[in-house]
Amino acid sequence: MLRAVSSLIPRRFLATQVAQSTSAEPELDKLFKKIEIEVRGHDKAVLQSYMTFVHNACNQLDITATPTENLPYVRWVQPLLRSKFAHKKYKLHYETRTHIKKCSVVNVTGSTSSTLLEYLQRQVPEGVAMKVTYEEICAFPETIQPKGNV
Amino acid sequence: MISTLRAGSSLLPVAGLGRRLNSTLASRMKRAAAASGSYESEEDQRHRLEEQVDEYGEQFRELFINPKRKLAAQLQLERMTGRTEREKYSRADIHDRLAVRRPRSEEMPVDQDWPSVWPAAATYKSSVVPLPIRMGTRKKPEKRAPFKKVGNLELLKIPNFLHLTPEHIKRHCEAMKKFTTPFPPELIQNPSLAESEFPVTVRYSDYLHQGTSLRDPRARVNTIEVKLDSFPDFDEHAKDKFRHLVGSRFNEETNTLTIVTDRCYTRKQNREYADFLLTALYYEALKVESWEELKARNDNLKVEFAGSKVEKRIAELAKKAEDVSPSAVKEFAETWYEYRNQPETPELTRSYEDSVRKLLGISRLVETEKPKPASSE
Repeated sequence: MLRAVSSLIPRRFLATQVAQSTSAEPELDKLFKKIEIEVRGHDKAVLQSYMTFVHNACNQLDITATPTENLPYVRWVQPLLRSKFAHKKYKLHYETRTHIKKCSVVNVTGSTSSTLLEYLQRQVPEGVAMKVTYEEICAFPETIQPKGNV
Repeated sequence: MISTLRAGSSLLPVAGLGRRLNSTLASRMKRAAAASGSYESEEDQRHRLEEQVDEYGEQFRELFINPKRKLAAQLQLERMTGRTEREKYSRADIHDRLAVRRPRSEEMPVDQDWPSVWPAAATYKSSVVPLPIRMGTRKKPEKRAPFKKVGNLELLKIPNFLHLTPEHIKRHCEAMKKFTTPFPPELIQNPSLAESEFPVTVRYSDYLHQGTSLRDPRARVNTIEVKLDSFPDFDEHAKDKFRHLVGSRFNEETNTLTIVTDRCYTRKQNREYADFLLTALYYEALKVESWEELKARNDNLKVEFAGSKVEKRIAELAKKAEDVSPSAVKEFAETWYEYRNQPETPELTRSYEDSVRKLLGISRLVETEKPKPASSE
């Protein structure tokens, strides 16, 4: 029931393996409910440009993507004494702001996601970090055999 | 005044490159060196040296009082007034200076193929990018515009996206399209089908940053979510046992089990461990052990009405009063169950109060906004 091929959904194979006809069991394409991409950086303008590029790329590849979400920046503050000696009242205020932007890609296969993500990750500009969270949908592990099958 | 000779020129003085080079003596020497015989004939030379003699027998020596040149002040005046031609002196770096062209951006046509000009990520080159950009802070920007693009370090420091214009992206995506596969449309249209075929949702993360190491320890965390209803062959006993096994990892509202595994080093290992846990839970829940007979009312997850003290009291009441119908008791049981098994809120308490009043036929003394509950018959 679980492991038998459902007649309703033809099994999709990885894009690179369609042409192969090996005797071994071909690897099945993964299915992702949602892939969330979060970028962090110190320059808001750079992040904005990068998100424009992300949406552009998703449109070109016919991938549905949610609009960009702006999260509040993370602040790191370092107060330092302004003077070499004494004068505790007078300090310097240094801070770092890490701006965060988020967007999601919905309903993609493993081949599409690896293609898109490799492209996006290669084009990440300097000073920008990225976190990708995958939500993969899959069947029960093979070890769970329902009584009907046994 | 020092005359600058061109590299590689002859040792002979050249006209126009120095005032002393045009003196009478110099011109004399020039003629002597250059000509061979045509300058002064033997006869003339003999005449000059031997016959042109004064009373003391001395040759006639030319006297140079006024030099055959203009004085510095006079020359300067002439230059300033523009009466002489300025000497055009060529410089030593003449070849290099001739080699510099106008910036490439001036020769670019408007409809050129930009992806060919800027194919990959590169530092900003002001001579190549044909846009009139300015960048830089000024004290009063309304008075003076920011600095121009030529030689502007700020423009070099920021990352540019000139290699990711819409045309670039279009071409890249055209090349990449063959590696993509379409998502099964049946799963999008029919979400319940997705849930029945693929009940397990796995969540994991990848981290990309410029650190000293490629690895990020957060990447090994695996989260698995399954709905209790999607387990095959589960009856009431199995579901109850499952919930006992799983404990606080079960969310009652969404009926979902969440397992977070990160005790192994790699993501694959954590995933396999989570699969093992699911399998173990499934089979254990289906098993009925001998000691499960010892299950008491205390072991239930929820407080049941059946077997509670309230039920006994209501049964006694029913014997005495004889006007308590089973349907009323059933209604009361439902409200009682809600009240006992949920966190206490004022609304819940009020509804419980109402159900008790209804069951026992006690009406309120004071009129409230709510209509008086009719006493049960």
